[in-house]
Amino acid sequence: MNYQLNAGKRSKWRHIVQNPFLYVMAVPGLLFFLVFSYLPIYGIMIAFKDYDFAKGITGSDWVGFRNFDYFFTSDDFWIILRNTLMLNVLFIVFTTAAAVLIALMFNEIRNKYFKRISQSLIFLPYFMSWIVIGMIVQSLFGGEEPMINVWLHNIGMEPVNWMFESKLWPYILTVIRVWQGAGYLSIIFLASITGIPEDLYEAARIDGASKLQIVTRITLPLLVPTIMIMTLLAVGKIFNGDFAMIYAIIGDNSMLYPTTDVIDTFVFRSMRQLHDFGMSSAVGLFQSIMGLIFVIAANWVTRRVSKESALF
Amino acid sequence: MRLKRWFGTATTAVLVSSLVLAGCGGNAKNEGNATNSPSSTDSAAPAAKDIVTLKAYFPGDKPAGFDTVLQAVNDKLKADNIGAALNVNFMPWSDYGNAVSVKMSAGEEFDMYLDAPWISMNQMIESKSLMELDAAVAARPELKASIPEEMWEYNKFGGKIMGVPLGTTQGQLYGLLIRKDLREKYGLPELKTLGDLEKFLYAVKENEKDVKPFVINGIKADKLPFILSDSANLAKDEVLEIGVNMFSYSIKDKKVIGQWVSPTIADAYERVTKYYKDGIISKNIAQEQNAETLFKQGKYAATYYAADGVEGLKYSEMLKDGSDKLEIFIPNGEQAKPYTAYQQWNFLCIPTTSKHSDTVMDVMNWLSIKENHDLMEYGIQGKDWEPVGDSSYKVLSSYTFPGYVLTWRPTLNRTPDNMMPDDKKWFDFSTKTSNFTLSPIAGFNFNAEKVKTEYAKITPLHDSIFLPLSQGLIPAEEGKKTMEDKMASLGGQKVVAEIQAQIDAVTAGK
Repeated sequence: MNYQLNAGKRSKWRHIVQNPFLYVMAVPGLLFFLVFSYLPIYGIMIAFKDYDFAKGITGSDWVGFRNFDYFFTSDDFWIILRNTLMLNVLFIVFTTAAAVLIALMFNEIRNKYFKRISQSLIFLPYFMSWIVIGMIVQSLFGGEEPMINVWLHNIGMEPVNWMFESKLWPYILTVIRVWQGAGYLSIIFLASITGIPEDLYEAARIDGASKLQIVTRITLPLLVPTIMIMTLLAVGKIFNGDFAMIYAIIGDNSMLYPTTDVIDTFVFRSMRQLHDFGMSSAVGLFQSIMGLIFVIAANWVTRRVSKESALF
Repeated sequence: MRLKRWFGTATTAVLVSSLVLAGCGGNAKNEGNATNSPSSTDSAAPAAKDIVTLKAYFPGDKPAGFDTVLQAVNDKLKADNIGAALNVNFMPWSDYGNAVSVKMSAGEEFDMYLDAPWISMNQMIESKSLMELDAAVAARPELKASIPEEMWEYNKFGGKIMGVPLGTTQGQLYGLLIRKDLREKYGLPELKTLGDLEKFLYAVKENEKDVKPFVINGIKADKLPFILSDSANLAKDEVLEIGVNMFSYSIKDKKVIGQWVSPTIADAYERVTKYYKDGIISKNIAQEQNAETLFKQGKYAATYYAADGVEGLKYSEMLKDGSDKLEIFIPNGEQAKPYTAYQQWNFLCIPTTSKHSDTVMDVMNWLSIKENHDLMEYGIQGKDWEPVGDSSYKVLSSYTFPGYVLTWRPTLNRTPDNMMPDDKKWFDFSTKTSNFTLSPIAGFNFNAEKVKTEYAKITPLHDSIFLPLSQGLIPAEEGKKTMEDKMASLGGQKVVAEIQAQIDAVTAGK
């Protein structure tokens, strides 16, 4: 046992010595996370302090859990929590499903140029700022005569008062999210599909497997670990509403709050007058801890089902 | 192979982005107090002062042509032997508040910056980070005289001048911008009352196919009840704007009440409800953000106006064709004498860490002399602007200095010559202290520290219920009831009690 462990260690060192550049390339990324993610963790204490920038983070007075009060005792706490989770679940499920589908389809395209062009096109929305997307959505659904209503009218359907129908917006937002994010995710999946050994496919073809069989028996099962990793990473942020997205699209339209108000937009509105660091940090801490719990739980479930797909 | 290349690209991306982010860290440092050299060798004056470079932080984008103007300002400062040169740093609005706080707590030395109660001023004062300026102001006659007495008096913090109040108007006068051509088309007389306005709006609705009656940005609609009330712009027995959203102060009962239950503007809530139902107020109001553009495009017959010197100017391009198709309707305009606390929203503050506070105040005094004021605010005469009389100017370049960060003085203000006559009339009206009534609670500034939790809980009600109520979207009765219920369940009465206590403390001292 001990010997094996040592052997593992030694081979890891050898790996580093043999591939120094691979590790050098990782350094900026590691530094990035160290400086911007790990070091700032000490700021968590702001959540438990009556933060006063003049006294500094360590000098401010401790207030226990007082900063958490306002959020947890808000009337709309449960609604906002539900919205955040519901929207994120919709986003994760549909974006992943769409991305897998797109990746599988891309994998079947043989024409090199068509493949490249369509890949770029489907990737493009990911680089669009939410502000721009928000404006597109406004012109489609907003204004006195939304463009969508003109289209509906042209095909003989009743116009819809989009900006008042809060029930429709979780779906609209999901569509927008899939359009924006699925392309990016599909590239990651496609990369992982490319890594599946060619001889597996060859063997399948020799055995007379159909295209569909190859996809369902080889490609999909071998893609599952990547899907799981991407999903687990997304689950970690399940308590974080996408502020940039929701605020750019919904803005201050109170009629849509019942289904689209998420933790982040709610906190933004609560703090518009107060600018209290402590209270907003408290909510941020809550989101992170819940995210952590969810990741651990999801990983635990994954391990039960298939060990090699789990993150840790 | 492709996979490898892809990872290579990804790593490069991470590398580049981390470098970019690292670059953000200390951008202000390299422009710091570099030019402290006593460079007054060529000056013939007997006691030329050493020149101190004053570092200033202001929000917003750097105005076009600013460097040239700043050079001229610094040259003149030198010629006038003030002993100062300005090093002005503009920071984007989005991080201005945070950046200044951080610089302050990090102990960075700078000499002046814009602060305000809506940025971080109260916290700064509480932490003793700002210099008291009473003595310095008293010793500088031009500065003192360029700002009316009321403005000094009612913009103190804890009885002290903690920043030079920057402003032009002395209070808020509300009204509507009206398409005069349409009014005349329907043979309606000049609008004097809300009744006249109503006739006009309904006439537009019934007769115009492509022009709709009234547009206002959704977020601005909390001002609608102040405009559409019989008591608009008058000093009745209620102070409507006390500086805390959604609340007002009843003078008669000496009580803090919610604006939604205010008897003074109850008629206005009925009106907005009716106007929304009848399609006078745009159905789109909840998410309207383009009121300005839509009005400019001629799609609406009326929009929001405030006599603040900014709102009316937005529409001056509509008159470029030489027409006079716009006019301003101020409800109760003839008798207008609204309450004001003479409160200003922007302050030039000096951090206690600055070693040159006297020089900063000398510069502030220098900027209160018309010639110097005009140089900083309007640019180089003949190149950027040209005087038109004493209180107006012709714009020649695209130089626009945000006066509210440094140079606004009610007595020195010039209006651009493209300001429409109605706008100039009401703006000039607003800059005179005597056209307003002193609010009985002047001096009150809400400090939410003690009721933070409750205040944070009721703040979202402004957007979710109070605003739709003011927009007419939620009918008056229903909206008022919802507001009451929600306020009660969220602990609003604690906030009210705290506001009340703070107002009582202010009024007791009078």
